[in-house]
Amino acid sequence: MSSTIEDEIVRDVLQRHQGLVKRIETKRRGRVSIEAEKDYIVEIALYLRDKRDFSQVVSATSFDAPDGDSYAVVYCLWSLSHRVLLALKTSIPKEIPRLRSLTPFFESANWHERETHEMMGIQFEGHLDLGRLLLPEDWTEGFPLRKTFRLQG
Amino acid sequence: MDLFNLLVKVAVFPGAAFISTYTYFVIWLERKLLARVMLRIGPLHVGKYAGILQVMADFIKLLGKETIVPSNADRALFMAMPIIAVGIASLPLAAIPLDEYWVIFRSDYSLLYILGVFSLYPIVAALTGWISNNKYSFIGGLRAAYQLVGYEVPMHFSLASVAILSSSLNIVEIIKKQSNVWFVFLAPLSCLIYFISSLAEQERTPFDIPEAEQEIVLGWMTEYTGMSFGLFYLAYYVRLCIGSLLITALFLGGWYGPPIMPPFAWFLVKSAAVIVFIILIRGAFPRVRMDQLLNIAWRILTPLAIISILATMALQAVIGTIGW
Amino acid sequence: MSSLLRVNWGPQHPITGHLRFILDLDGDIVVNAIPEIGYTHRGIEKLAENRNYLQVVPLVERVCNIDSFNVSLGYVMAVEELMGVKVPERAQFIRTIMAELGRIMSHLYWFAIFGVAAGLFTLIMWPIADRELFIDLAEMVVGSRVTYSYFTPGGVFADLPDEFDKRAAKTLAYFERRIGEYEVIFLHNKLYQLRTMHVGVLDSRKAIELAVAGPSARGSGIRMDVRSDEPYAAYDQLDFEVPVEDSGDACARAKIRLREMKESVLLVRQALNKLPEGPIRVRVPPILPREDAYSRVECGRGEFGIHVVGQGSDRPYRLKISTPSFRNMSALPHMLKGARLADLPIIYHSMDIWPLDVDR
Repeated sequence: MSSTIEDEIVRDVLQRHQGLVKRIETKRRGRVSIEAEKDYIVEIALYLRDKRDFSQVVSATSFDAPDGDSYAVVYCLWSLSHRVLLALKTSIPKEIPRLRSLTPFFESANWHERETHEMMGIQFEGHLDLGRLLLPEDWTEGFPLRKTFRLQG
Repeated sequence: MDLFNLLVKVAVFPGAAFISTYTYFVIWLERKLLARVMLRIGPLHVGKYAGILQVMADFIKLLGKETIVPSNADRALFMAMPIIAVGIASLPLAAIPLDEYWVIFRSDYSLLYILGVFSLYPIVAALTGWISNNKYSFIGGLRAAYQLVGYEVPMHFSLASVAILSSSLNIVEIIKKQSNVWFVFLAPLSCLIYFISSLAEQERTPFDIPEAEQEIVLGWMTEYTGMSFGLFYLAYYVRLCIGSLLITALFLGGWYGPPIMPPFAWFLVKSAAVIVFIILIRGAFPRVRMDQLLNIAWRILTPLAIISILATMALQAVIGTIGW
Repeated sequence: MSSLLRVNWGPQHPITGHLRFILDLDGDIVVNAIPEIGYTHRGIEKLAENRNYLQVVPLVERVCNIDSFNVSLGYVMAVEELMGVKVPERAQFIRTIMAELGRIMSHLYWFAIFGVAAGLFTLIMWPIADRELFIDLAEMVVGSRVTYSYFTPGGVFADLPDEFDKRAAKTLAYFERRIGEYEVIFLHNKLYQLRTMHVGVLDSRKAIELAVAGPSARGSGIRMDVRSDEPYAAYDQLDFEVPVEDSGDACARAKIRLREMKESVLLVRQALNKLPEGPIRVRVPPILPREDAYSRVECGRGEFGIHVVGQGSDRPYRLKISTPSFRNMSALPHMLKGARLADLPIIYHSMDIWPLDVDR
């Protein structure tokens, strides 16, 4: 059985970063999901950019992890030549919500990280301009997308 | 008797009453015709026939609006500008003959008079932009001044052809020389250049950058509201009408036409045709950018206008030899 | 060193829509353009966490209400992927038909606004009038004119009515002629070319780096279209072309959108011809499993990415929508640097940025 491009990517990453990757799977054609410790995200992302043409960050999400004491952060990287979307997942502790920014390496991550910072309160270290994006400048009521922020009504 | 005649001409025909009515109809025509081009209907309900009274209704509405003067602007000059604009816009009318008899100001240099008075308008635009004390108006006023001054050059050059062909600067004589052949056929390039320059002078699309609301709200007229704005609007249309009367006089044979209508009626019909054409151009073309506009004036039209003068001189020499 | 003029554009400005630009001008040239977004932020992602996953469908539609077919399709596909539900063939074809009609409507609306950007008011009237015909088609099927809630996890809500075939064929025949007229009157208009050629050039390397999406990227030579990269609905059974241009200027992007409208007409015709019989809906389980799914659709503006995280209840735990306008908007400051003030509306509108898309 010939291997798909997703299997190749999975093999590649496992070969290079065996110890850094917690979980890696291909759920369907065109989707690869990698879960790793937060300190290794930049390394894995750079490897994917340089060796596998994952040149764009098309989405960056964050949400309270179901286990209760960390925030999950998911970057979605897209490869134009392979047409594979790779979800790079990590989790950061709620007490110290900090993560190394991908923006110095991926210009497309800029506004996604800015929005995540604004909505979830995560500090992206190395991002030069984490100013307000969607919320008004004088917003003081906290971080809207955290589960602790309750909507009225 | 002479003074009485003059007063009649100034007040009624071809003076104040005539130009007011004519402008009224042109405003209505633009709204209906442009609407039809855009798959709309235009004014419909006000007035028995096709919204003919809509312009009157809008005028009355404007009278009822509050006139706001910006706090830092020179109040007297600010309020005077619209009136000055209408006045200067109407001045060329004095020398335009609608008929051999119906002309207010006869002179052997009436063409020069018209060109001189036409050139006063850039001052109005620039001054209005400046005294409004507003960033946007200021930019708009400067742009308007650049445009109007830039297009005067090819306009004046192309009119030299008319002067050459008729050996006179008297507009009545110019028209009389077209009794056999209209000048548009003898100097087509000059006519084209004059038409394009005239469009730019009247700030019509595609040359209406000074009032480009997409970028700087309304350009040099931004701060004007109510009746003051109404007067500027009027000045704009008066210039359109007078521009079309001029081009009819200078290139389209003035009042000459088959004797089924009185001569002045032919004059009006021809100038109305020119206005229809100008309105259709507005419906079809986007506006040109400022730098492209000045490029066209200086790099394309001016050299072409000089060439057209030479061509007309050559033609006139040939005609002179044949004995037209 | 001349002093810079700081000009504020919007959010109440005749041309920007609900966005704000802070421009630093040196004479006529833009030195710096800082966009300010968020004026229409409605918190859709947060609101979705409090709603049953079926109630989220109308919510997601309002992200891009001009092209709501494609957006709701993206969400519905994500939910179906989560649940492992397979949608019947007839529903897939119907989805394709309505999605392409939505694309035509979106492009016509864009065309209208783009015309005004250059100062030609005729060009706002004609496409809006033509769009009414397509809205009538949608109303025939769904009952509402602009936001539909027609797609549902498992299929579509109702079948196409019997007269739809004939009516659609008539509308499409008329529209094909109309696009030809648009090309002649507007695209081949010399003054239009003067305003849009070599204006707002985005080179392909920068477009890739900035993750520009949709026709704006295809105008710079990047061949990416979700319908051909990752075929969904019935696109794998239909033939169509993906128009790509190389020059990267505003004219290229306009040409691409006109051609896409033509392609959409052909796609709808094909889909109507190949429409199979069968059920239009399957039952779906009432809860979302504890997984996540990311679906991508090609909306009129570009690629929509919808990320749904389930938590074992009937509400999505997290809904993240990655919109093309958000991505294109972040590329805009780079494109506006060095442009003339008069070109700003043209560049901005050639990217087809919809403020509601940007803000969600």
